[in-house]
Amino acid sequence: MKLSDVMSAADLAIYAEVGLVLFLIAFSAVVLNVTLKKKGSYDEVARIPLEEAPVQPRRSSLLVAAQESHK
Amino acid sequence: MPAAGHVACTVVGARSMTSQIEKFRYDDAIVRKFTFATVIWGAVATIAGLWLALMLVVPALSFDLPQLTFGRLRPLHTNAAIFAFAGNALFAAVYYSSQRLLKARMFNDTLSNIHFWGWQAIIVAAALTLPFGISQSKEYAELEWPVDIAIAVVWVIFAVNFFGTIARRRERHLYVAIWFYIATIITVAILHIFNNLVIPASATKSYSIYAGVQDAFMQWWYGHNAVAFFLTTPFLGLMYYYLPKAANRPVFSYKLSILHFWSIVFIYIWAGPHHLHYTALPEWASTLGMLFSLMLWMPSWGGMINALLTLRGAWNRVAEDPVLKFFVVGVTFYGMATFEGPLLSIKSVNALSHYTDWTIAHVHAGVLGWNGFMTFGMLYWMAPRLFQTPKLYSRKLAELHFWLGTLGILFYIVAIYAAGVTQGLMWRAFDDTGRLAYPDFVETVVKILPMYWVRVFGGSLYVLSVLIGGYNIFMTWTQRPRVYEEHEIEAPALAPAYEGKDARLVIPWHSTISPAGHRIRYFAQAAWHRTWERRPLKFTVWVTIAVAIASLAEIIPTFLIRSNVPSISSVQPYTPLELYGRDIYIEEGCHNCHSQMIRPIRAETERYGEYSKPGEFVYDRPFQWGSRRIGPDLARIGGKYPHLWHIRHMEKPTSTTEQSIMPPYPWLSVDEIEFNVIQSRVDVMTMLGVPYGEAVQRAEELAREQASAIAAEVVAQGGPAGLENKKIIALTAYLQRMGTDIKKAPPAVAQNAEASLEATP
Repeated sequence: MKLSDVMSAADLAIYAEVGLVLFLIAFSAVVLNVTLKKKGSYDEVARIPLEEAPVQPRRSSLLVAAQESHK
Repeated sequence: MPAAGHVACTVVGARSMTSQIEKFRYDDAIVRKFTFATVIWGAVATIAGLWLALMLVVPALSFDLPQLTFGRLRPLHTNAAIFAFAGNALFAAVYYSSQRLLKARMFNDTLSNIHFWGWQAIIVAAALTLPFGISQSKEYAELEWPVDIAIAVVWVIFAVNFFGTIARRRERHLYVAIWFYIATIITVAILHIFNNLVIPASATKSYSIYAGVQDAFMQWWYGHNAVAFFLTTPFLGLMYYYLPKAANRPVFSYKLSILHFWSIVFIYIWAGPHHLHYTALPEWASTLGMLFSLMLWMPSWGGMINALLTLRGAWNRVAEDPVLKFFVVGVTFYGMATFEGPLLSIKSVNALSHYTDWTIAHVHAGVLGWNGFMTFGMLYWMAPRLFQTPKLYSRKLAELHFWLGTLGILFYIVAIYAAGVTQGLMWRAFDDTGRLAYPDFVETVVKILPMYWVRVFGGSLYVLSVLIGGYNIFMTWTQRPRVYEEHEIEAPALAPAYEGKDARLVIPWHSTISPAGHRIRYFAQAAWHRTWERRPLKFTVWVTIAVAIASLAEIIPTFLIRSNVPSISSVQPYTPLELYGRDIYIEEGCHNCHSQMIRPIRAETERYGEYSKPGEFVYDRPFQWGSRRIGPDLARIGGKYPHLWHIRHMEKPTSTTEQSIMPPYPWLSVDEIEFNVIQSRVDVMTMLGVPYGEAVQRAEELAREQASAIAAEVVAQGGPAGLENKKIIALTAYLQRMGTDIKKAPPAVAQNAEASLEATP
């Protein structure tokens, strides 16, 4: 007996539909969430290409310290 | 500070501030290398394209040489345009922009250089194999298995280098361009590996592990997503970095760019089957492909609009700055091609457009307009920065490049759209008596030759513009300083974990809102998405899952549900000689001009015969359905003409079809069949499950017997003697077999019929 015999006997048509629904749910969640975000919340990161220094350094506290020592 | 909205935040681990500010330099030497490679391969790819366009109107340009035929050179052109030109361009973009977006030098300079030289070696390997007929024949995946392994290795090196850079980045948030690069690296790896699974028969020959319908399905899952993840996502990353840089303003809507990204990743991967409408592919798969293709239209246009609106308030600069001109026209072509793609995926439109030049016009709008113009916009913007010159060598030449290139594309695509629609309408035209209005295929070819000349003109303009661009970039390079200055960048040292505020959900004890309310609010504010965006590993995993789920949902049923490919008992394996003849068909790239797929449409069945069934292709490794009919379909060519017709036709096509634009193949009547390789090929096919019977032991002997029989028939038909060892006999054997099995009685029925005949007194 081949794998394809087993699979065709298992009648898995419903799985494709479940997959489609899962896809729609995940996709809608991303769309909704991004759409519902507050205006301007991405303004800072959108400037990453334009800035020479990191916009949100991974050690942010240090940047603050560096900036303060600069003053 | 990240916007955590009103959700309470916790400060995670406030560590000591003893680390220092780090100094580092970006590696621009590698970007310069990829830049030069882009320019050189851009010229090669477009000149090859122009040569092919000329060969279609002047077939004698193949000079009767096997290495110069359309069938062998077309893959060279497409591979050069996609993997050499666009490939090097995307690597230049990734290496330049990633370092700056991540505020880190590339992970390892040696890996960068191995990537560069490895990729160029692969391109040279392509140029040295494809014209010699070493080809898997799957579109954009023609390279044979040793080169495929090299591609996989170099790609992994690129991935290690790229993800290593992400790991060492100093910028916490991964900018959207980086997401597009991640999707590219992951998906191209998956596509490349699964579409190229083959069993080698020798160093230069292999057979796909998939057959017929499954092979076609895998190929177009690959082919369409190669367009998506090699020519679209990395160039969108490029767009989201270089356009704001050139316009000196942030992207119009970062939110829209996120939607653009997830829509592309979620939806694109489902769209592949639209390349196989009305073929022997199961209908549910092609309908799914069509619906998802239609869904792609909106996010694509969202991306285009986002890019164009980034220029709001800067349109006056577009008139002066050639870089912005290239970007504006490039993005417009993106919009045009992504509108046209969904349109072409609609079944009724596809019935007209498929196999015609319409598809060719569509891809050239995409590659010349979108990929080409985005690339040259990027190169012109980078050139003074990379070569540290005050400005580009000549702004006027860049303007000339822009206008010649734009006119070139327009001449090309307008002529080829007209050619496509004309030919499509002629194929399906019936006269008043209900017969085909143009029964002779060559009439539909001759009709569009004037438009092919216009394509040559448009193509020449584009080639000229690319050469001018190359000259301009070369001259900018000659003005470089004696030693490149390496600009030093300062940034806080990297910490193992982020030390700022995290967007974790913490519900204050004094809150009057219910915990569920907090959770809903937290979810709606998408802080979780922000957390993902910062975590490359999780992000990559999610992209992979999105791509894999979509792929598996389509692939598994096609492969495993038996009803999708109903078997036909009269369809038998090719004989050893036919198999060898089929390999010649593959070597010569016949599928570049001839399909083997008759669609269930009246105009097709009238012209070519019974429509193609899925079960007819179960021994086809790889499938040869083709995607373009420069010549007629061959699915039912078997038995249509005597052997001698094929021999004369291959030697000099105009001797049988006066107006044919097919190149001659005289070497097939001279070159000898390599009988000694046949057994190993049959062995591989047997290994793949083809029931070869006695051929398993004596493939060579059977091949010689069949060759002698056909050669004798050729002599009987008044043809030349002494062909029994020549390749033309093997090819004829294959051509005469093609599409004939379904007309035969199944073996069991035939035996019963014989038995009953014997029993009848």
